[in-house]
This record gives sequence, structure tokens and C-alpha cells, in this order.
Amino acid sequence: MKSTRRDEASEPLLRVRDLNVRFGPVSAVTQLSFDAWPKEFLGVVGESGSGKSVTAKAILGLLPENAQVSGSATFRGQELIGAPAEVLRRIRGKQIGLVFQDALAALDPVYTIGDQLVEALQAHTEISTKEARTKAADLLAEVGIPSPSKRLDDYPHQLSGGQRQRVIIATALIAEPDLIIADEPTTALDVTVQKQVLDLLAEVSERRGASVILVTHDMGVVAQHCDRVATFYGGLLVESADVYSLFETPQHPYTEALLRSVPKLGETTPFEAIPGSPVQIQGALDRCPFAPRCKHAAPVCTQELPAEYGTAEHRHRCVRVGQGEI
Amino acid sequence: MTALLQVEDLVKTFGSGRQLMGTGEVTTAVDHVSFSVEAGSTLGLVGESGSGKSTTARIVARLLEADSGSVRLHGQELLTLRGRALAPIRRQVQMVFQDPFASLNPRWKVGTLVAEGLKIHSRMTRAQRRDRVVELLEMCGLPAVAAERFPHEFSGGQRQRIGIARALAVEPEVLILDEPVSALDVSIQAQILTLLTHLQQDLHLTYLFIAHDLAIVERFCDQVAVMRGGQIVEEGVPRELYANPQHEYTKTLLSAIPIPDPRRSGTTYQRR
Repeated sequence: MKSTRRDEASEPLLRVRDLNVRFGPVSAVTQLSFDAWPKEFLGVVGESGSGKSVTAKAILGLLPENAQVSGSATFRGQELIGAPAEVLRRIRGKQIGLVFQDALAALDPVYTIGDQLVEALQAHTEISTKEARTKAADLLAEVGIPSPSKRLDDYPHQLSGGQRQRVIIATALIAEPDLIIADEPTTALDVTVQKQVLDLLAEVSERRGASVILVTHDMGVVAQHCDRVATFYGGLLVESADVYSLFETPQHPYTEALLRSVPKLGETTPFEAIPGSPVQIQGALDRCPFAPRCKHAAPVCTQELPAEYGTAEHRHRCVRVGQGEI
Repeated sequence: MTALLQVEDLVKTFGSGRQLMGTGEVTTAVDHVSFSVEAGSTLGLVGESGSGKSTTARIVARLLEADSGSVRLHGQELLTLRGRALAPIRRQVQMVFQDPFASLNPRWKVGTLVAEGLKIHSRMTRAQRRDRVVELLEMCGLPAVAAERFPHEFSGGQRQRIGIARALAVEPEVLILDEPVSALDVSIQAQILTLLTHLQQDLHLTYLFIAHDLAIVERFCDQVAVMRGGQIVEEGVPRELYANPQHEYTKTLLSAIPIPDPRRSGTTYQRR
């Protein structure tokens, strides 16, 4: 399915090349390259500290000042890394919509939902407040909020967590963006609400022909929603493939171990842990970050940063798999 | 086998503090909840936020007072115990919390944290306590030198090991595990759950496991009770209950879980 999409699209929507992010001596993201194509749902998965959220923020110019960012991220040919704040602000919201984990923090508690939507609408188009309120109510209806015109006068705290996340999605849709970056949008929500919010995100992005980059730690969410998946470990993109290949023929030992450690309904076999725990990368990453926890690790794994192996459709960074040793 | 822990008709309401004026609203957090746990087994209490599962756990641990109802351990009523009579119960029923860092005093060394219960509940000498702490740490997969370090020097999974060692120090019979792996990465969750499984076998522990992840409960628990709105809506052996859920809410909950297999779709909306 992904190949047909790619044939239609001559250019990726977002092209990231050799992106590096450091915080002082700590390497958060190393030599990261990937593409996001039009109309695709790309999952970015990894555990805490793997660099997935840092990547999303680096692309959007939302990292704190102490972050040292190098490399390139182009959106429709426009370079984002090092772009002036003015340019980034215009792209954020207008061409790239954002949905973050904490909807309560993203909404201003002293303004009503209506005020905030009207303000965002008027920032993008020249319409009267009355028109904007009508449009705001339409947006709330589109994201499935009941009695939308009444909800316009509610304050954020009067809505449930799931409804607030729907409002955030509505806000992200205002400027009809081509790309929506959603960073753990449902992590704080109950599973029944999570399902509604993710279904909504899938529906509205499809209806509007937008791409979605979904940052998550939940392999179930990835399996159910994403076309393509990028797996992060220790700031390195260790594997990327279409969702079927990644789940059925994982190449990198980390992806394989991660998939085995996810408990699945209907299976009562013992839990399969990955021994050890992830560590921060001090200095430049010059080895495989997963080697200390990997049962296939060999001396070569700690002697160099693993190169990229495989095909353009299914890439990975395991030296031993790449050289046919395992 | 007889039930080690018996909970009957437990009720807990939270008021807005204005009932006297007749304007306050009362929320029934725990609404006539009954269950029992057999010695050496695990009961999973599952539900979404606000279902009353944590409130129930806190009442059983005597961290919160119930309005009415009964909690019996070995047939002895716990809820009426006060003051000094409560001390043995606090020893027998210990709690492990979701966020190990928030539940550990950051200024205390790990050795002091783990030994705190021993100071209160036993008459050990310092040397005996030190030996016991090392034994507990090693039992939980931590090196003896961990005793000399501070909680912030440990990863999330290691901190949860410290939390478990601390709970086990006073040799409890019942551990109340309140979302003990929810804050941990999936590869680490499995480590902690494996540890808890081994500890249960070795020490014949009885677990009350508060969780929202039904797949974990299926592997970890002998029995599961599904809570919603303060009530237990359905109860049984996890595999049987999941295979044939009777209550509408259990069905909704089960169908909402995203299956980590792209070829099994459940009922989730898919673009593909």
C-alpha cells in the first residue's frame, strides 16, 4: 500500500537528513535520516529517552536554547533547522499541526474553548468573530464533541481529558495542515478514550489528505494505525519499514526484543523482558546503543556506529544482521 | 483453600464538604464492593480512571477510612482496628506504588529507605538490619552496594525494585501493588513482573494488583475483577472472562485495546 502512495508522490513532504541533537555532552539524536510522505501515517516508536520526542521538537524548532541541533529537515523544500523564528511560527500551525500529550497545558485555562478557537482562526484567516464562532462550532462538531455551540462557552477544565484532546485536534486542523505531528497524544488517556481519539485522528487526517507523524511508545497503537514505522533506540533510528514487515520480519534485535516484550491478549506465556536498562549517551555515539542489552552483541557492535543496511523500504542499523552473521 | 483476604460490602463516598448546607454533591467512589483473595494467589482489580480501584486498594491498606463495610485478614476485621492494634496489620499488608521515585524520600540512602520498616516493626540490631537490607536488595535483583546510594542514581525499573524491597522488609503476607509497572517502559515492565512472580512463589505472597492493562492482568493474575463507577461489574479467571465477557463495559474495554499485530484489527478505525 505504501509503494502505491509513493508512486503518486514525487517528493516526500518532510525530508530529514543527518539530524543530530545534543544537550551539552549528551547525544539525544544521532545521524537521523527519514522521510514522511504525503497522506501517510508514520509511527515513531521507542522507549523513554530514545529521542523520539526530541526529534519531533527539533523539526518544529521547539527545543530549549541549550540544545545543539545540526543537520537538515526540509518541509516542502523549506529548510526548518536554523530557520528564523518567524518562519517556523508561520509553518507551525499553518502547514504543520501539533498535538501534544498534555491537552490541559496546551489550552489556556482562563479563556473559553470558543475564545481560543476564534483567536486561532482569526490568526490564519481574515474573518469576523461571528463567522469564526460558527466555524469553531463546526470544527468541534467535526471532532465529535456533542452540542458544540454550547461547549464554545466552556473553559478547558469543564471538559474531560478526551474532549480536551479533541479540542486540540480541532485547533491543529484549523489551518488545514498537510502534516500533523502528534506526540504521545493519548498517553494520559484511558484506553476507551484513547481509541476514540486515535480513530478521530485517523479519520480527519484521511478526510483532509494530511500526513500524520505519531510519536508513541505503544506498539499496539502503531500496529493498528500506522502505515510505516520508525523504531528509535538511544537516539538512533535503528529500524524503519512498513508496518507489516516491521511486525512480521523485524531485522534489528531491539525491534525483535521489543515486540516480544509486549504482552498480548490471549497469550499466557511468561513475560519476556529485555535485560538491563537504557542509558544516556555521553559524548558522540560511536557504537550500537543497544549492544549492552543485546543477546547478539559482538565486539564489532561497540567499535563503530552501525551503518545503515537493508533496502530503502526496510532499513536497519545492525552490523551483525547487515553482514549476515545472525 | 480459604480466602486470606475478604472484602465485603465496602463503601466510600467523597463529599464536597458542603453537605451540611445541603448544597454539596456526594461522589460514591467505592459502591458496595466485595471480593476475596486466596492465600498465595493474585487478584487483579482493573478499570479506568475514576473506577474506584485505587480507592479500594487504599482502604484495604488502611491508608483511607471506609464509610462502611468489612475487610478481613485471616478472618480478623481490619477496619475497626485503631492505634497500637493496627501496627501488626500495617506489617502484614504492605503497598507498592506506581511512581517509585515519588514514594521514596530522595534525601535518604537506599539502605535507610529499605530498613525503615524494620526499625518500626522489629527489634533488630543495626548489624542485623544491615544484613537484612543486603539480603532484600539481592532478592530484588539489586547489588548490595545499592544500599549506599540515593534513589535518583537509579533508573525507573531499579527504583521499583527498591520500592518492592522496602515493602518486603517487614515480611508481609499481602502486597497491594498499585499500578506498579504503569510508569515503566515495556521492556522494563516485564523485568518487574517476572520479579514479582518469583517473589510470590518463594515467599508465598498474596497480591492485590491494581492495573489498567488487561493483557498484563491475563498473564499475571489468577482472578480479575473489572471495576466501573465504584462497582465490580464482572469477575472471573482472566482468560475465561476475556474469552466470554458478559458485561457491556468489559466488552467495550476489551475491544478498545489496540492489538500489537497489524493483521488483527479489532474494531479500530484503520486508514489502510
